[in-house]
Amino acid sequence: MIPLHMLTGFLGSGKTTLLNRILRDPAWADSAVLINEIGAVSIDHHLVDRIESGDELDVVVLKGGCTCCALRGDLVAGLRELYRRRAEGLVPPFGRVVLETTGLADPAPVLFTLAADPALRHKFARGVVVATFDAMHGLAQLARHPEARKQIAVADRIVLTKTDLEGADTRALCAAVRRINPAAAVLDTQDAATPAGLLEPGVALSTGFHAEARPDHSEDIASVAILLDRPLAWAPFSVWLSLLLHAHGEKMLRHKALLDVAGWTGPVALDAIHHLVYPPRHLDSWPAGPRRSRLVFIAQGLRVERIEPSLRAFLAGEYAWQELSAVQ
Amino acid sequence: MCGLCGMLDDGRRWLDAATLDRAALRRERMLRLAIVRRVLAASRVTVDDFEGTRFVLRSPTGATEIVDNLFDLWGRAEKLGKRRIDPLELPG
Repeated sequence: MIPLHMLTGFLGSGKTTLLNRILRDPAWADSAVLINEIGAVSIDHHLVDRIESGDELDVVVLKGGCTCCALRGDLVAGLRELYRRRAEGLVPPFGRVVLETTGLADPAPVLFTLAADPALRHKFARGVVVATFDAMHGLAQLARHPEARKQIAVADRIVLTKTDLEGADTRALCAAVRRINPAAAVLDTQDAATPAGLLEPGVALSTGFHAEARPDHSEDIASVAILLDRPLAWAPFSVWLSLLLHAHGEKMLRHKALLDVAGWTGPVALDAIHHLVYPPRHLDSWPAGPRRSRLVFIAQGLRVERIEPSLRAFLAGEYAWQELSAVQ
Repeated sequence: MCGLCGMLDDGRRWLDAATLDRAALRRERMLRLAIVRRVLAASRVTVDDFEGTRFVLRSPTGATEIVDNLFDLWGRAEKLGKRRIDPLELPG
């Protein structure tokens, strides 16, 4: 499986600059790049200097703009074409794909496309979703543009850019993005030892979980973080989550969890976007701190404060597994 | 169908992925079935296991539907019971 990493972020937030830095890392020389742009004129890929000076066949430009269905079709065609060229030896056997999306793109349909296409799902695996966040204009963009808020909400990692400019208030920026996405790791591009490390896989939740997050009703996107001290039973939890996503999946931008599942020693990591739930990953060890389940829900247009009482009722109320275990 | 709706038929394997051996899978399935029955009780829709792989739903008027998984089950059960099921509204 070839990992596909997504680089998203609002217009002018430094995606291409970051991509250039990442591609200069020798460890990332075997990367293929997909660029999605608005309109037919492909400007950005001329800025990707490594690709210009190297093998241009590594680049497939998606011209679907930001309409999710059009993007979906172009992404399928683009990835299939890339894979075909790789299989036929027309391009080097790249080890990963980096997709740079248009500044107005919603990342979710891209991830759905990857999981839904019967051919692609066995060839490409979802990598890390990184959103760039402009230190100078990001706060205003968050306030004005729902696309900017959604990109932050769906990201695994958020990279603060232009923090070297005068007047950048890194603490306020971190607070603003964490109000939207308490599960993501927030990194300053100035602090990253190697830019390519921003796309290395990892469990963002173990470092990026912020239990103090609270619903913010001034935003249409709100999040809630839940801590459970007792091991949870998988059966009632999975029924509850399937029901929650059935009823509110369209509003659920992102769900991440590190779960202490009864009967398992290591943590189980769960990751969902809208109705799409990725297969749980069994991890070897717990992150530092008390061993307990940590769940984050980020939703749009949903009263997220109702989620925790619902989950707790399901785990401890009339659906409790201890009571029902008698049926076996 | 848009990109979001298209994914309603995906992302299901996670339900069985937390348990590995066959006996444990069956126990989990039976437990899950018992929980689903309780959730559907207010809708007067009943549910039974069908050959260990699917579910049979029956409406109060006797209409029957076979569904493949929980994701399909909730939508069909809402139609059969003529009642929306929302975990954020269920009694604790």
